[in-house]
Amino acid sequence: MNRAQGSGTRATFERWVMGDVPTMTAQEQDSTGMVRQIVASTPGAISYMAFSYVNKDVKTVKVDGVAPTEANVHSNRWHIWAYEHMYTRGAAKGLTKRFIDYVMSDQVQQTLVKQMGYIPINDMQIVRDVNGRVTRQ
Amino acid sequence: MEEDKIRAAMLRKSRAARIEQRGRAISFACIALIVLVVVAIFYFVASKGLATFYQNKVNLWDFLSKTSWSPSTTGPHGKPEVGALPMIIGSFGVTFLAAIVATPFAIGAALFMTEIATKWGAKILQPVIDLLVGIPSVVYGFIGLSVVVPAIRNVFGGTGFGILAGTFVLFIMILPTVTSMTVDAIHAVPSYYRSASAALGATRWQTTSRVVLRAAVPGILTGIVFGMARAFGEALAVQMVIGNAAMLPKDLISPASTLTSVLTSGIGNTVMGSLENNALWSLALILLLMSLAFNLVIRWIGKRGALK
Repeated sequence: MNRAQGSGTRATFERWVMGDVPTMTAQEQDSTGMVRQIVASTPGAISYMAFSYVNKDVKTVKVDGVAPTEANVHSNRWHIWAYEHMYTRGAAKGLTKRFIDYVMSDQVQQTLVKQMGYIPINDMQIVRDVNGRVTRQ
Repeated sequence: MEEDKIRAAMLRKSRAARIEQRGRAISFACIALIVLVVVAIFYFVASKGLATFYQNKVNLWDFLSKTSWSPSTTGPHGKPEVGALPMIIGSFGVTFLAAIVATPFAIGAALFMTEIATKWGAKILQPVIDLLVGIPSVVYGFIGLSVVVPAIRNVFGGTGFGILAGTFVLFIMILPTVTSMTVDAIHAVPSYYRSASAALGATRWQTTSRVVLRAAVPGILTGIVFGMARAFGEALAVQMVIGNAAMLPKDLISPASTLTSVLTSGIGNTVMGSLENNALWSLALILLLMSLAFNLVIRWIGKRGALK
């Protein structure tokens, strides 16, 4: 089961798993919650979603022998991950800049971000740029 | 002088006339607002929908007849694939199937209410119908997802999503509409038809099937087309059970998609002005034109069948 065509999750999956191979036309659902429910109740269904939505209703699978854990994402052994972005119009100034710094600080990253099921950016051991080049931090 | 004063008093608008004029102006302003809103909606949808063909240079015939829909990726020919045929077939298929399945049930229920058990039939069925009409469509969709889809999966195999699931959900949704209008149509048949038929010696069933139903056919047809118009435009309930696979449905139990389901699941993920967005607006334009067509059909049936 796919996500809808403009979805960020689908874009990440297509970039890091499918590469140049076009995805087959299959069922599409718009929200991750629906996808999880359908996969949990349909025998033989498979799909893709973010770490933060995984619960005991669904099972995760290993890819190339690598399990989808946070440690594997830190070291880039697990390739299928993407950054979350905050966008500003032009360079961030004033209150906007202070907010961005606040979100990037350990105070938020190690508590709220982890609570929501996401991975703190400061825990990453590598940096990946927009072209896919990986450099060690 | 007296004459001038009297003449001025006669020529000036009386208070009553001014009040009437004001009332007329206010009503005209209301209707002008409604007409303006409708025209604006049409203009907006049409301008965005036609931008696909003028701005992005998509061929109209390709749009209506090609079968692969992926406007955000470039296809094998280097241009994005914008083929709406699977969705058009899905929409029409689900609508017609739901109407075909709902019609006999609606006629049966209406006949029961009006001819067979007039005293308590209407008393029980009328609240039930009103209740069915009032249930929000997302509830229908959720029940379809939790009950209808697993049932189809157990009986027929496959994933359970598809046109069959959509037909079941839409059948329940349009049944109250068609039943109400059929009841009205049967009530509108004058009672002297029934009396004359009884005077000729016809049995109850003969009267009902050959006289009453025949006379009520225009009203029944109107009700069916009303139900079809509602089914065609139903978005949320259909999206939850039809599977949203943008490919030609090869049978009733393989995932398909309708115009509305692709619209609702895709519109949030596109940027205004891009090809994906314009393509979705073209689907919306098709929906709008189809609802216009349904409207025209209803009026034409009404005009033809009006009891003279």
